[in-house]
Formats: sequence, C-alpha cells, structure tokens
Amino acid sequence: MPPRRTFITGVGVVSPHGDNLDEVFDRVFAGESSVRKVPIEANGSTCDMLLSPVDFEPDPLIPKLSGRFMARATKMAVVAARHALERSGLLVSGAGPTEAGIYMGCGLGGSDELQAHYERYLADPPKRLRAASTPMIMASGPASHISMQYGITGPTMTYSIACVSSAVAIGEAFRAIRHGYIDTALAGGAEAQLNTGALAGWRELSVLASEHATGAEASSRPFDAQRTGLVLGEGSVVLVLESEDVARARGVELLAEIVGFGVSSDAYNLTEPSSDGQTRAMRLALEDASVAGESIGYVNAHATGTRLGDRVEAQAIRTTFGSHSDKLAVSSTKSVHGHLIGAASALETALTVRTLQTGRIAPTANLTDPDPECDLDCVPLVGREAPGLEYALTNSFAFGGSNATLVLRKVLAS
Amino acid sequence: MLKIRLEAPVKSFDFLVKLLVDEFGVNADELVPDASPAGLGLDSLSTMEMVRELEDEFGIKFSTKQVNFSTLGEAAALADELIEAKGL
Repeated sequence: MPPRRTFITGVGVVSPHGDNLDEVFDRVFAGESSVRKVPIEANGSTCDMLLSPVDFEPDPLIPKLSGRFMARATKMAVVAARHALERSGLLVSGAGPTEAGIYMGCGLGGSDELQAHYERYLADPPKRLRAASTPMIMASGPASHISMQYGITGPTMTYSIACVSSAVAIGEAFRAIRHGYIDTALAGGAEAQLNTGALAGWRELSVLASEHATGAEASSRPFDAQRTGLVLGEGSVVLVLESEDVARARGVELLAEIVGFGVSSDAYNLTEPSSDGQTRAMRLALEDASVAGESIGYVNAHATGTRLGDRVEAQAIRTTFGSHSDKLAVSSTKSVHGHLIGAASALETALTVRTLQTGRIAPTANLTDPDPECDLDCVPLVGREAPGLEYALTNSFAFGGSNATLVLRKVLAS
Repeated sequence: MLKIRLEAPVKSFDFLVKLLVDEFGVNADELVPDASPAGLGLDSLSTMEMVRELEDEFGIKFSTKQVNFSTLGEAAALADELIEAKGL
C-alpha cells in the first residue's frame, strides 16, 4: 500500500484556557495567561505555587461507577476524547469508531491517586489500599478508559516519555495511518500532576519559575533574559486523525494535515538537553515530510522558560534552518499556558492547527527583554497575521533526552 | 477516598445501600436484597471494593469463599453473622 495522507478532523481540549479550541487559541493569541498562584499544602503548611490549572469539574457524562476507577488525568482524557469525537462527527449514540486506534501520551499517570492511596496506607493507623489502587495509577489509564467509554477496539497505546509523550503518540498514530495499519486514530495526551507529592519533587528540581515582579501571570517567560524556569500546567488534548480516503468519503472538514514526524535521542544527560539531538529530530521530521526547511513559516517551540533549555533549542533551530532562521517566526505558547508535560505537545499541536487555519501566529507572551542567546524572531508580546503560512513545525523535548518534532500543513482549498 | 461514617450503628444492609448510592452511583430503587452485584452494574473490581468498605466499616473479614455471594442480601447476612461473631 502506498503511503496515505493523514488529516486532523477533530480536536478535543480540556485546558487551562478552557475546552473550546477556537476560544483557547484566541486567548493564547491575545497573550492571556492562565498562570496563577495556587495554595498547595505540604508538610502541614501551605505555600503558594505558580501553576496553570484546569477548572475541571467531574464530568456528568462519566458514569459514577466507572469514574471511581479514573484518576484525574484519565477523566480529562475521557472528556477531551468525547469533544474530539463529537467535533469530527464520529460519536454515534455515545460510541466512537469501533476499529480506530488510541494513541495517548501521559507522563506521571494517576499521580493524584498514587498520593491519595499512599497517604491512606501510610497513615497512623494505616488503612488498606483500595482494591482499585494499582489499575488507577497506571500511565495507560487515559487510553484504556477512552477505549472502554467509547467502545473503540483497535490498538490502545500509551507513550510515557516525559515531555514528548503526546508528540510521539500523535506521530506514531500518524505513521500507523500513513502505512495502512488503521484508518482512524484518537491521539493526544493527558497529564494531571498538580498534587502535593508530585509538586514537591518538581520544587526540588530547581526548574520552576519564580514569581515575576509584574505578577504571577507574567512568570512564564520563554526566550526572555529574565526567565527563571517553567510553570507546570495540566490538561488533556485529543485529536482525531483520519486517512485521506476515509475523511474525504465522510465529507468531514479537514482541519490540518500531518506531513512529517521525526524522533531522536540525545544519549547524553537525564535533564540537560542537547542541541544535536534536537536538530536531528527537526531534520528527520522535515525529511519525513519531504519539505525543505525554507518552506516552514512557523515553529511552535518547546521552550519552557528554563535558562538552558530555551538557549539550546534556539541553537538547534539555527543549525536546522541556517539562514532561513532569520525569516522564521518562532513562538512558545507555554508563555501563557505553562508546561502540560504529557499533554504539552498535544495542546501545542492543536494550537498549531488553529495557527494554520487562521493564518495567525500566537506570540511569546512576556517577552519584554529578549535573551541575545536566543537570537530568533520569537514573536514578542503581540500575535501576528501570516496569511501565506502553509507549513508549521512543533517541537517537543524531554527529560531523558528524547526529542520529537511534527510537521503540519495547512489544508489548501482544492 | 470514602468517608462514610453513619451516626448510629446500623445493619450492614443499610450501610451497603448508602455506600452504593453515594459512592457507586447506583439507583436506590434497585437496591433490594435480591439484587445481584452484576445486575446493578458492578464488575468484579467494584464488588471487591464494596466488600472492602463493608469489612473496614465493621472490622470484619470475608473469607475467599464468602466473597462469592450472589445477592446483596446474602452479603449483608454474611456480614451480620461476622459482626455478631465478633460480639458487637
């Protein structure tokens, strides 16, 4: 079978900026930050942490009986999947396409439940764990529950690769459709680790942003000279991917096309990134897409706001694109939505879909004092019209040295 | 986490009814002694969690054999026996 084209035909979003992609993009385009101070209890005292949380109520459409076995990330994924299926017209009487595949990324699985269950077990006097503790904690919870909730019986895959989890999930789903293993996929990511235990670990890692003088909402500052680190977020984003023949036969609106996917590993360091590995991921994605670097008009950067990470990515973009780097718009939407870890790439892919659809490039918010070591056009502060934009690239890089890049193409009027 | 604490000691069936309505989302009208866990939509994991809650509430322990009850009424009767054997 010759390689098949793969289109995105639905997007479901549960994000710090809301659950309607068009509105989420408009808020991101306007530079509206969802970062705020949230009181977190730890060791008997309370401290304010800078976070980008989701205002997420337990969903009335999730049956209480099955909801009892879902961690927070899973509940978000089940809701995002339903939105995606509805928006692509694939939800019929509560069920999705039977033979589709599910490809989900998730970093820390049910860390909220892990904490709650261990608190119970280690309490004085100790209590037994719930019978459901183990299957509630597993990273594959989001994908498994999407399968069960919507009766989807194809491959149910989970990629737990820190911050590239959902980029690889989307990329592998794209490959499975391109090469004919499946016709339809739900692909994305879910993450909900804004709980005391997980946050305590992040605090010790010294990568979290401190509050900016102008306010909490200005604390995520990728590419800025005053950046101090990343802001953790949470959420879930699920895309519906379909082969061209299946999507066209249904007459569904094509939102964007996935044309390339590149993955690489640094083989270098647990937490420090490598420009070489990142460059390879971008080059492999461009080769996979059979697209010249000069065709790319926009890069949605991984840039999280750490001192080292943003600089290394800027170097990698320069190396990959050479002189074209000067004509390239690069922005980090993490400046307003923070870092969603296992759901980050899925949210950024969804925002890139809207970028291509609308011809509008979201800015890097809070970029008032560009770091000369990140010498790129990082679209500071104000979004930009780019009506001729056809190809965009989205980067994701992870602890452990995993790198993943997706290339997306605007759907041109036929 | 479940935080059910009834104000006064009640029989285990009443506890099961409250548990299944409040925490498992089962319709109260369906909770008759003859109802089977499967008939109420409880799979094996949910049934196990129901038994755990019953055990923890009354400080009793179902044997492996006793867990194989077929109706809520049977489960409650077994629990009542175990509670009585404890001298409560």
